Amino acid sequence: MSQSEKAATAGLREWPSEKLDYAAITDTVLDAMRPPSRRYYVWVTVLALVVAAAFSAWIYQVRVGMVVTGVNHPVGWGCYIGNFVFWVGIAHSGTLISAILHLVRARWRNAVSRSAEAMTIFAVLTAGLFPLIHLGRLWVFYYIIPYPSERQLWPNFTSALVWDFVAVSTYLTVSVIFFYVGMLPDLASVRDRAVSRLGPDHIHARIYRWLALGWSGTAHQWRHYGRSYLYFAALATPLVISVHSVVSWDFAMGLLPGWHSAVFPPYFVAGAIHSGLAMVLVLMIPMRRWLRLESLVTIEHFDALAQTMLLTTAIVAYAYVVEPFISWYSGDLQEWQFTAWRATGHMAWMYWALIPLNVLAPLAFVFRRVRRNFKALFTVAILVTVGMWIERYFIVVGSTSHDFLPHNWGPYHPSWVEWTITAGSFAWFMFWFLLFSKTLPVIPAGEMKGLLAEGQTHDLHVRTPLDAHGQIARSRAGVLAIFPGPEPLLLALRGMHGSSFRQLETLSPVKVGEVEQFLGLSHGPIRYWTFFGALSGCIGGLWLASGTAGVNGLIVGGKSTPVAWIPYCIVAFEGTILMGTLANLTGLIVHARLGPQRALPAAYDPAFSRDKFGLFVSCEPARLEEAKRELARFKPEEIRVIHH
Amino acid sequence: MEPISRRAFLGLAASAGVAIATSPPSKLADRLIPYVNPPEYPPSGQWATYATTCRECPAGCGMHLWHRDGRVTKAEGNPEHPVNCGGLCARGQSSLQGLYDPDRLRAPQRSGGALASWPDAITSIGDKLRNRRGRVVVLSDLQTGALREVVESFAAAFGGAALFWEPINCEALCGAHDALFGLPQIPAFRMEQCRLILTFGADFLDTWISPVEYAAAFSRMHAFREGGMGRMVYVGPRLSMTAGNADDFLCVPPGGELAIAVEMLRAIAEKGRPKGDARTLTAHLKALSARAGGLPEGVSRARVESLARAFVESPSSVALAGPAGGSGSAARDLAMAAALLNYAAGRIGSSMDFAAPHALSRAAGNRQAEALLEGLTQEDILFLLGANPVYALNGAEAALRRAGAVVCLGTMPDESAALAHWTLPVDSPLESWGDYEPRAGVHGLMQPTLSRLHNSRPAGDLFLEVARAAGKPLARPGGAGAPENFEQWLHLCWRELHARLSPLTPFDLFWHDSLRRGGAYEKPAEVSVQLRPVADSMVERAVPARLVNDSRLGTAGSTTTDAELWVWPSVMLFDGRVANRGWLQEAPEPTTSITWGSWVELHPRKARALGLSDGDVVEISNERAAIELPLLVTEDVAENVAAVPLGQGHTALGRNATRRGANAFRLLGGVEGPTAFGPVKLRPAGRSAPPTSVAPTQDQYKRELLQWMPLARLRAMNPGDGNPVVLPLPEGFDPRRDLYQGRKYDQHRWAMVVDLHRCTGCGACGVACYAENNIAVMGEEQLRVGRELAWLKVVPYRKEGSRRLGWLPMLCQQCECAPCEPVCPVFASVHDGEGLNAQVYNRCIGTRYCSNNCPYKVRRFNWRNNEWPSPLERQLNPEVTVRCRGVMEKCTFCIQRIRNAEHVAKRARRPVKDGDILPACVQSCPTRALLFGDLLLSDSEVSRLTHNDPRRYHVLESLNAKPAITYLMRIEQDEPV
Repeated sequence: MSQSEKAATAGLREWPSEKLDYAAITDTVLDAMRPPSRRYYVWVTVLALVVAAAFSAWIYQVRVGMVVTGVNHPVGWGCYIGNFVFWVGIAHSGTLISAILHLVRARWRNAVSRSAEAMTIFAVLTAGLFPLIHLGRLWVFYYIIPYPSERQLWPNFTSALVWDFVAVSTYLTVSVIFFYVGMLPDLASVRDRAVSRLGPDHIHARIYRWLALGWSGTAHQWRHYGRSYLYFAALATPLVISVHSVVSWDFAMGLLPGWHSAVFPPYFVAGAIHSGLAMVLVLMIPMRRWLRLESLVTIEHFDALAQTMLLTTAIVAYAYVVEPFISWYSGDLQEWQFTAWRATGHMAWMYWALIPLNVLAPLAFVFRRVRRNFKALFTVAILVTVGMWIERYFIVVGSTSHDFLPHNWGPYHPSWVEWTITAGSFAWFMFWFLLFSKTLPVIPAGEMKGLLAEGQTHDLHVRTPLDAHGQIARSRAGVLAIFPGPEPLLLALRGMHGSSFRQLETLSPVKVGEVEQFLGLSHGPIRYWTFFGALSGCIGGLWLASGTAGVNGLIVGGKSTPVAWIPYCIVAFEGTILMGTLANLTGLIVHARLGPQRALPAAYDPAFSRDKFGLFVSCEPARLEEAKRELARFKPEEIRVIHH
Repeated sequence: MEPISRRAFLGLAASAGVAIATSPPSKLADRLIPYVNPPEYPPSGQWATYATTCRECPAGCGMHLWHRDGRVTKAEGNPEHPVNCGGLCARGQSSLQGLYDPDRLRAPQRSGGALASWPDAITSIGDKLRNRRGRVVVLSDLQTGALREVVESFAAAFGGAALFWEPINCEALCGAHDALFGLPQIPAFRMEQCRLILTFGADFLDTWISPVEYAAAFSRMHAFREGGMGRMVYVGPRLSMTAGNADDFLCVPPGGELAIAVEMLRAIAEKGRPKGDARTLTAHLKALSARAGGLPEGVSRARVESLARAFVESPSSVALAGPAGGSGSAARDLAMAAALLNYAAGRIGSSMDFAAPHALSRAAGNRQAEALLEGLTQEDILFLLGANPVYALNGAEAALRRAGAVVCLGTMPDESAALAHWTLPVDSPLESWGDYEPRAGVHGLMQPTLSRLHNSRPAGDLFLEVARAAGKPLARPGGAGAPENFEQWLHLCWRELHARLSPLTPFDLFWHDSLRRGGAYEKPAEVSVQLRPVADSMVERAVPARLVNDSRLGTAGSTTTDAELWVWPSVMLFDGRVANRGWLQEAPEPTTSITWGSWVELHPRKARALGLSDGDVVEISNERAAIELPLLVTEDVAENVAAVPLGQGHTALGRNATRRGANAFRLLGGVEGPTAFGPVKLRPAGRSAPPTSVAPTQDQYKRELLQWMPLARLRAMNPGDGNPVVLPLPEGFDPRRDLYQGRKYDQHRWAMVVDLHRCTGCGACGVACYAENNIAVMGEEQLRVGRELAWLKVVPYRKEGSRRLGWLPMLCQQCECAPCEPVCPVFASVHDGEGLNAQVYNRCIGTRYCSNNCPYKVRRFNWRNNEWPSPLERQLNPEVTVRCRGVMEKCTFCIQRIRNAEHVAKRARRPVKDGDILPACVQSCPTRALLFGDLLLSDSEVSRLTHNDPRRYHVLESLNAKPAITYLMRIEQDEPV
């Protein structure tokens, strides 16, 4: 990663601050989920009404036809596709923050990653609607889905729209899984608080119990969870890069001047992250205040986000310069005339607006004072969001309205239906985000507590790991010792080496990395699940694409055979990611023994999802007293005897 | 019944299997006994064609009507007809929309719209006639045959007069030829044999006399052959479609044409050796020069002289005089000058042939019509037949209001019908019997092509019945008795014709043969033509005062607010009678691409002086009327001209025509000045209402879409020279350029050649495509935002660096590497086994990606569920799907016709021959600019031209889509005359 990333990490070295402990982090996050105010309900209602209006407009459009939009000949794609590209772009920063920054171990990502991931999902949900909205015949949209049907026709895997469909649906699936898996420890906290405050049969308790999938924070679960999460991140990272590249191919694969350009994939990806980071700022700055998260989300995080935006600003600016340059350098008459038209034609104001909005405004982030001023941050973020929307619109509409044959040229103006649906998309997105902010933990408390734990355990080592492989205790009788932090837990674990008790289990709110080492656990089998899943996805993608081409036997675009291998690699790639992720999830569920109905271990205490660390020694009922004595040596806060 | 045993079952099954396997049904068919009496009507589900004569304008082209299951769906040119030889213009194509017009009159009506029954109507009108105190006057559109006889006998029976009047009538030509030769006639102009056509504002490719015929003739004379090609010189104030096709366009102010013609005559009389009676010629020249001004600016004497020399020295040449709507003395002077030029060059009897005068010679002019209507009083009864004087003749409205009774016989609720006391719906020409003689010797026959749609009657029958009700049954002059009905009358006429033309064949045979061929054709007798001395009135006529002050003509434009009016009938709407037809309203006017409206053209300098820009509304007024029209600023008109198309501005006629544009007929009439239409005043109306154009620019932006080749270069080239085109066949694939090797075709690879040099831009192909392929009319609001559905668009483009116009018919190029195909996510756009880029409507989900990616933008999206107001839906071709909203559609090369031809060939056990298949556009083209065929057939015309013609090229070849449409460049004459 760049200089700015390093700087961000350095600036956040002291974070989370000393004042925060495990309990405070958990409580701040859970307190944000308290019943909302009336203002919240008003907002939700207003947004729902806007969505309803947009939905009515959509129905009207489906019934009457695309004549109610401004789309025309030659501009076949209008602001719907602009919205699609825009929202897919917004969806990018979530996974960027979660996956890429996880892989490069950027500490600051934790405070914003959950909201960014939620934003990703809602943005993909929004984006995914637009290709449907823009279809001439919505009622047969399923023709694009590859499944065996009586029509004996399969989609055309050489079409960039099918790649789009495959990429966006994969992205949505992977993002949802990544979001959900990352939230499991926090859902356990929510569950435990609901159970303890509202009783085990309250609807909240039941919902969150179901959602938490029996998460108990045992060493066993943390071990698989950690590996699994890493693989999710590893799979999601190339996916993030690919999705907007694929979206850019909708255009770059076209012939039109201004679209047919090799710079599009990196240009689109950078632009996507640019707009996504801006949207994170737009959402997080008010949310931080309204949900009272100031102690967890600090100015340092925004500073780091702003510095990342400087990087994307640079790439976007580079693309703005390269586009006209290549158009001139190509010597292609139509390209060059198109470039000149962009700068001088009836849409020139948009072209020139892009530079102040998307380049000059975020360039203000080179000043530390701007980066550390919420009002300035928010203003710039809004400007960039608007600028990126205009950019998308301009790319879509510009090229189509000014193509090869001058007699076909024509302008495009969105109709009221398109404006309503566009407004509805923003409302739809905000609506889900508002719901999310009150129903799910908006900050990954587990990960933040993990940061605390890292600082507390760094000089503990073990020479000979306990040979406990396969002998971790579950709901049998035993003795539970409760510790206030990871350090005493690890000391006790080390101390137990000398004893004859071999069936040990820890229960913790965070992953304590050393526990695995102390217990002598291997990396686990999830990697095989992921690997074979990915492999089968890759082969399956190629098989699906080439097989369907063979079944159809249809020739397009002057090919000599129906099969075209190069474009099928894209399908194979998406298959790799999708199947790898699904297999990874299956592996996690199987090995960590997760499930909606799964009971918690007998030794489980709600405090283990909040701030306490437990060591459970499993033994014969006869040896309970002996075990109790052994554990008492490590001065736990509490010792409990569990009689099966 | 006993249960069948397993053994018996197997035995039965085996013998049945053998029987089925050894006795294919085709053999059974051989033994079928055919009908002893074949059914008179074709069985349902099969096409039949009926030959008839087009009555959309006085040209009288022959038509074939495609009929299926009780309705006609397509009008095509009759290839056997001597006038149009298979081509048919846009208006002829649209006769179906006239037939199925949803606003057609459906039942007899009294004034005020009260419906009546036929007996009531006939009795009541008969009573009126019986009790008449004044005259009975019939004003009809041009009729020549049996119907003319009926109308004339009707008028005679009641002691009245009948006038056959056309709003665009060439009375100036008739008058001039009368004055010069004593022949008040419009001769046949034999253009195909000319090497030089000189036209003074006569738009003979647009609307002048017989445009389809002339277009075919022009394309033949103008084609490149034996190292040369004919030349056309256009002298006039506006770059019309005809002028766009000219090799030399001399843009002169109105009146300048006469100056040039007179100057040419003088050059011939003084320096050349004029043919014929030189003394009389000089006398005429003297009389004419007194009324002609000096040469217009920009036209040198030397140029005129060289033009005169070329005109005389050319092996054959002809001079034509327009304008089509001109009726004043200026128009007549010009016509005289042109006729004298022809006389002096010895063209009378060859390229200007009075042996076969045109039917328009028998049309009354505006003067006569005005005189007839002016005399109308409270006592008089006026019958209108197909004429709409209220729309097209100034002053007619007052006359109609004055008349005692007006009986309107017509098909449409037009402006005159609105004032009539009785409106009687008559059959459409496609529903009725009739005949029409477009020029002497060509007897076109009309027959009902389907049973009548509404409660209408044949016009001829109505006159017969009304006369009978009035107690004066009509009889043929010199004929046998009183025919029962009009059909009998027609038969009697044709019996006479039969007796003259082929007395040896039985009448029935002659009749059916004529029905099949669309008429009977004879060679007219020669006539001798002599130049008459100058009439006294011609010499004495005073020189208009304006000319005395300034030797230059068209001085009306010298002040800012004055301009010379120039009125022209557009190729689509002609005189406005067809203005309610969606196809014609939606079809772009060839030079401006404007649809659904009218406009005024002004020169940029004029517009600047008035402070106006494109789209501003201008009030144009003279002493007769004031109309308001949006402005189109163009350098295609002379600087002092305000050019206005005819045809719009209806106040009635139906949903498409009413309140659209302005009626330029209002400004016409009674002009006796140096210019055909006289001066007008211009005034900004202070608002803006741009007309709807479907092509925002005619500039090619250096993209070389429409290419020209100099004649000298072409002359030096041999077949096979020139840039080879990348073929849409495996040999068009090159590993250095293509990722794939191309696909082999087994049987056919359909392709087209478009000869741009032959294309005159008339747009008939586009309308034929609408008719054939059920293309919906979208209306002005949708066209304004670019939502027209035309699969084929004839696009005007300028030659790079000049104002020269050319037309580029743009339709699906059926590319081999079609960019639209790989982008479709659902295989709705695929290639078929015969090279067609097929669109599968059922598969299409409407992503519109194919359209975005089509470099030619020839795919059309269905923005809504289109409706055909009843009964227009009866015109729909049953072999072509009507597309629902949300799907893309496009040109299919008329795949239904390909399949039909393949089917016919298969039945005949022969391969499909070159020329078997004619897509609708190819069929309709009057100039044969479009050619369709199989590229795999090495000796097909398409194959030959694609491989060898030096003018071949592909539009946007650099994109490597390998289009299957090869264009042949326009040819540029080496140097101006």
